[in-house]
Amino acid sequence: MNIIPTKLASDAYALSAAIVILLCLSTSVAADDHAPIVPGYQRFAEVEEFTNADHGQLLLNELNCMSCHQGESSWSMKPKQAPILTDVGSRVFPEHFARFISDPHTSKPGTTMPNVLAGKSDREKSEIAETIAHFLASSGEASKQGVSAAAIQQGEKLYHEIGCVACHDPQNKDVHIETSIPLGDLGTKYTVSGLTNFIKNPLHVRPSGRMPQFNLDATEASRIAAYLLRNAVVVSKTNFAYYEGSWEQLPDFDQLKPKSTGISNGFDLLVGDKKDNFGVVYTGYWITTKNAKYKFRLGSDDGSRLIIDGQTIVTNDGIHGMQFKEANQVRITSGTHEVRIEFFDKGGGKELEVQVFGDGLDGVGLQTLMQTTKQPPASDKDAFVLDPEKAVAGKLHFQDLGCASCHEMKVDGAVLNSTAVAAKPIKEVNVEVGCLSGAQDAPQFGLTDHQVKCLTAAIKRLKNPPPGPVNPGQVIHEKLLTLNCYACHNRETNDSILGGVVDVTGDSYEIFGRKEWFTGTQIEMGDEGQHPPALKSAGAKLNPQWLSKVLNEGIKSRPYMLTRMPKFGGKNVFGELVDELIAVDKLGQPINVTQSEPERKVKAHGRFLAGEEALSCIKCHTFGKFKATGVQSIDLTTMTQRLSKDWFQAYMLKPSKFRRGTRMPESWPGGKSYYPDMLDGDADKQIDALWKYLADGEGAAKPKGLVRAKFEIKAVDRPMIYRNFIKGAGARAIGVAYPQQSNIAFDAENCRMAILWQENFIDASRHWTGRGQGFEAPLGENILQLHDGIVFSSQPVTDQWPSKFSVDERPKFKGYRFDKLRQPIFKYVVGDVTIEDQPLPDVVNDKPFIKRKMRFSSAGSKTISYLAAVGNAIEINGTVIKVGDDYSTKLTNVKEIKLIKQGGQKAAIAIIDLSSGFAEVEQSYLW
Amino acid sequence: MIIKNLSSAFLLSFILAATSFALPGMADAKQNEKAMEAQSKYYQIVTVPTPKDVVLEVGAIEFMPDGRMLASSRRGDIYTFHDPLRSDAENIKSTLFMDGLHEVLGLAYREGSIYATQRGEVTRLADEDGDGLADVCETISDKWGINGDYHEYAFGSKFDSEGNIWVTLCLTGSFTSPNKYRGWCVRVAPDGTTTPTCSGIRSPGGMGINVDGEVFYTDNQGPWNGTCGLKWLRKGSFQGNPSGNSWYDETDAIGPRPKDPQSGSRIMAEAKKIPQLEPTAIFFPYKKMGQSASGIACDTSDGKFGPFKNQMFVCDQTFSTVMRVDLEKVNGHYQGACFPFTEGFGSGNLVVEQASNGMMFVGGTNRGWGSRGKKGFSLERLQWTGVTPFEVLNMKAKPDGFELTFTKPVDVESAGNIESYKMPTYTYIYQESYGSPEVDHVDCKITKAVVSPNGMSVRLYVDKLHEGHVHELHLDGVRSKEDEPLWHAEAYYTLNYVPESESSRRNQ
Repeated sequence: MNIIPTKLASDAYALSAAIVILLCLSTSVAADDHAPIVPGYQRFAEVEEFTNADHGQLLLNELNCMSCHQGESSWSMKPKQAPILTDVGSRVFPEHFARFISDPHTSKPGTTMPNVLAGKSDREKSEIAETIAHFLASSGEASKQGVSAAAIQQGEKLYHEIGCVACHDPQNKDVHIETSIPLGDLGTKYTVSGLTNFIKNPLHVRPSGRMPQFNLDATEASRIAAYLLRNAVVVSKTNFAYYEGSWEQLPDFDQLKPKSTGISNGFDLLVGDKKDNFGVVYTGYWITTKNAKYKFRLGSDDGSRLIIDGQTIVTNDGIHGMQFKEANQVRITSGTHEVRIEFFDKGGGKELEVQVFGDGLDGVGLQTLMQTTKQPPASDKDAFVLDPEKAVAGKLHFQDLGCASCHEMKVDGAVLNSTAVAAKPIKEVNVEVGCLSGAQDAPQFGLTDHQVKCLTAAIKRLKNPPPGPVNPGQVIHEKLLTLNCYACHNRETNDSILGGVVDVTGDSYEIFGRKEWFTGTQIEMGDEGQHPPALKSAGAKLNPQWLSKVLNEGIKSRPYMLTRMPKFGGKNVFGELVDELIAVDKLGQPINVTQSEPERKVKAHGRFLAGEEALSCIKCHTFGKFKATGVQSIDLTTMTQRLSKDWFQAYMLKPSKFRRGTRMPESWPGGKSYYPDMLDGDADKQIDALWKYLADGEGAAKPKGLVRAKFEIKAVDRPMIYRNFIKGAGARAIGVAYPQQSNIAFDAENCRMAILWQENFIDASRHWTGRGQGFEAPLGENILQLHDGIVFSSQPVTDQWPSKFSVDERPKFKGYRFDKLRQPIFKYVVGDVTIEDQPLPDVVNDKPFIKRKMRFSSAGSKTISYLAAVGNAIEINGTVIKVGDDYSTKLTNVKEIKLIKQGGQKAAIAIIDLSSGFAEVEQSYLW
Repeated sequence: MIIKNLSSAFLLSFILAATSFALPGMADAKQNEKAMEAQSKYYQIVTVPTPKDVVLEVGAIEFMPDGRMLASSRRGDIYTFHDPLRSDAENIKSTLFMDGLHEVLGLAYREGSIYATQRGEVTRLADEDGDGLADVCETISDKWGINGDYHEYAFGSKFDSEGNIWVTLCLTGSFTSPNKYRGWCVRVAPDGTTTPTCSGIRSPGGMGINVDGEVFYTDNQGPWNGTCGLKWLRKGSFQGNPSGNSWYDETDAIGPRPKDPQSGSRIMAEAKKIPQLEPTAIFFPYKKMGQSASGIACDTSDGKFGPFKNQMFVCDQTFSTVMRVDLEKVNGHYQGACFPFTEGFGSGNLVVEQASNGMMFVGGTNRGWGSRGKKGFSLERLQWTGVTPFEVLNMKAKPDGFELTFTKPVDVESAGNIESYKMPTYTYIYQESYGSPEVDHVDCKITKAVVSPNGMSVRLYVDKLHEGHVHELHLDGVRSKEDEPLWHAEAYYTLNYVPESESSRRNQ
């Protein structure tokens, strides 16, 4: 099928403008709020180039018409199988069934489930629906559970990040997008564990892959479930007793007096004042009507213990990071059980999680099963009570109404068959009667007129199929459309481009409106880092094994992209989409390269090309566990594992040919090499060398520049200055190394001496390699970090050093000049006092130390206060200030040294007399 | 809010010309070699030796009245180059002037002192004892915030006619403005007076002053920048990225805070709503002209650098090129055309400065951001050979088309044939997210091409001009009177404003 006639090309602009107007005026194809939503149909329904029969064919499949009307559709994708209902009673609340069956379109607008009771009287309707509800409910028991507030919060983030919003409406913004598959009222439908299990593996009950599997772990799935059920579930509560103390092991809490007690949200660790050195005991009751075996996993940082009915189930004691301990299976009988969890934290991270497995629970948090009192939950007089007689009647209705034609349902291990009157084969369907006619006795799908028109056209075409084989490009399109791949990916072929988060013209942003939920961690990569990759030539790009793996298992090759590629289920994609993509996307003539040098030398060239002296691939791509020096793009060591060699050869020559707007540069511009002397200067041979080198994966010799070389700055015959981001001295730090082996870092923002140290000065490689992110710490030894903040005050100071300084009171840095030995003399101004401050290397007992000469000149102020030292313990001994065991400093020529406070610490301030207009103070440090 | 169903051919309106997957092979490579050969006929790139064992990642260049040249580096050094214009460039000597500074991206000479723009401040440097090394390092202005993010670059201009250095301050992380005046341009007087001058900056790459004395800077593709561009720092203007606009609360130097632009719009649509918004004077179409615009120089040599008198030259760091820009003022705003110029520099070009004899000194590095030039750093001289290339000299907008002037007389037949020209147009989405594809494509139909009697210019008439669009002119068919092809047969005119015709002006 020629999807888009190319003649439109020159009129593209005018056409799109005209359609904007049309869109505003015409009524939408989905004007009926209750009509079934099929994303591929919604997305392209008004595109005239897709015939009505194409749309209809998609609808025939997605409405599963052929489960009643025998026959083959012309669509290359198998019809969507209705949800498998075996065990449905254990995941869905019984109240949901009757409501949904009696009127699916009101209960869940947009559902593809037909109303099979439309022709019945209201009384019959409710009676039949009720009996089917009892039948379905008899397949399991759905129980209410709580969720933790933290899980709801984390679930919200996951839901909006990993790709749920590619097909469903966002929940954190009041937006409805018409291509969105409705979620319905999940809160009254699903149990927490039911929805968790569904999200974790949707293919289990919906094998057709329309809802793909995101390879979530149990915790992630339960968090998303908790979030989606947030309006219906109760946030679990437990009793807590909070203790303070510093322990290495769990203490005997019964011997201690709690600081506070109360009711917390689940296992909330921050119930007390302290963030370190505390313990909490959580207690509550687990009331169950079941009698089953459970397995418990207890995870904590630091120690914890789980006790049920006075019996220790599992202990995870000691100081450690988050780690899990698993208990042997335990039988929990029907009744009330006392649950106690003990926990303590000494420092660092803190976490606590208790997971329960067994009897339909798959890692749910124990707190969600607990309540704070022994009082059994108030019994609901309207609560559903299973009536076995109604269930038997319901089973018959399930079979004779045709439910069993669509829904697989096993009872006692056998699939129920349908006893409904056989519908006409699809090719013989008369659209004037039956489902499409609006006849009351036929299943009602709530179709729009346009949908009916499309279905009619499709049925007509099935009766007279067009001759000739199906175009493989069309097969790919049908599959991408059916699985809604177009929601995330665009696919460009010779004459069209379809789908994607945004249209390449950019014009569809407002219409799709999903862009803001496609995010990433490397913003500088732009859309490339946030939007799933374009599928242009995908069948040529990925090697067949990897392509199968991606489609069959889902994959996460791009750690910076938060949207995940899910798994669509092997039988839905494997051997069909894979083969077609490979056939259609095949590149032209493969490039055959014959190298004249031995392989080890060829690889050495490849290594050179990847490194910083050549193409610098490592600037933007990670290399195994090594970070790139710029943005952190896809791992180089996985390239040959993922890609086809032919495509790699072609892509490297001209990346923009395959990836529109990519930041990947053309490294052989016009096919020409920068390295005419390497491998005959032949681009193909050089790319082949790169490939062969990368094929060694993480085992390859590291490219040059990956591990940064040290640039130690040394003061040999004169002092050396290093102005940069120095850890402990701020963003405006000035480091000075003296040839005498002592070093200082001056903080020019606050005009203070920040760090003193000995021996090696600094390693500049952090700042002189790559982009130079971050703060570098001193390299040497005996590193003395002095107090932070502003250290001069021209205002009088009483017993507390000011915590705030106005803009005028702040010191102003004026730079430095050098003396004859090129030792810098810093200058700064505080109010009307100018200070020249010269650190000088000093030697005491053959060890390098530092002294400072400070010259003050005042234009009026009579004194100035200087915060000379800060510490927990300060002793003033004449002119010497001793700061605990840390260091001592001596000041000469000051009027007075006083002990005051700074914040919660002690401080020594020196009052400098400026009545003569000048003062010269010397301060020496011994540390 | 209801978002309409996407439907219709709207989505499909972008139709691709069928492209084959033929691989660029020998034909392209040969073409490329030919281009370099052509370049060396007109302009030569000559390596300037840098001091042994020194990594001179050139961040700024300045010339002293006595003929010496200074070049600073991202590593914080400044070197003096003695006799930099000598014909035997390989014998140019250099000595250390200053070291230990913080990422120097601006150097300007004034009254015996050198003013260096470091990451955190504008600094006056002076060699008072005359030993060749600076011994004074005086902080002139540090009135902006830095917090340790590598993206917080500060680019400094030369002195303007009023004696100020203009400093453009990159956004923190190139996205936000948690520290004072990130995303602004401030003017610094030699006495330290610092005046906020423009807002709306994202990630500058260089600064320069044009022949009118107006200050320009380059800004790079990213949020609110669909592609890289050359922008005019009109005093009081908002340059388009609102991330730093909270600082209007701290200053009344340029009036009240402008209205925030609407993301997803087009820049000229927003310029109509926001009077302070100064539209990008020149868009450098991404991957066609370059990927990271940087240093700027104006040819004020009066013909010593070739025929492009008073035009601007702008570096591209990724492509290792120098591009050419011809500006004009329409409706009180600068706009104009950019042209490919010279390529094949050693590293990622950051800086271009013109010496008194017309030579352009080009320097840079590819540290942190890759470039086509594969050396870690480079310093080169770009010299005109004296041979005039056949080029489009000027491209000026007219109410109904463009006027092209050429460096040499054209062949009347080919230049007068409308088939010799093609002019697709497009613009960019003006949006908060990173960059933009080319959008709103529409072709300009050339209806008439009239060659002037002296053969030096061609008047192109088109069916319709598209306001806010880049008009991408291809004139592959045009030959010179001597039957040469153009050295560069394309030009990209950023048509923010369509000039009014004489008659409609009279009628107003």
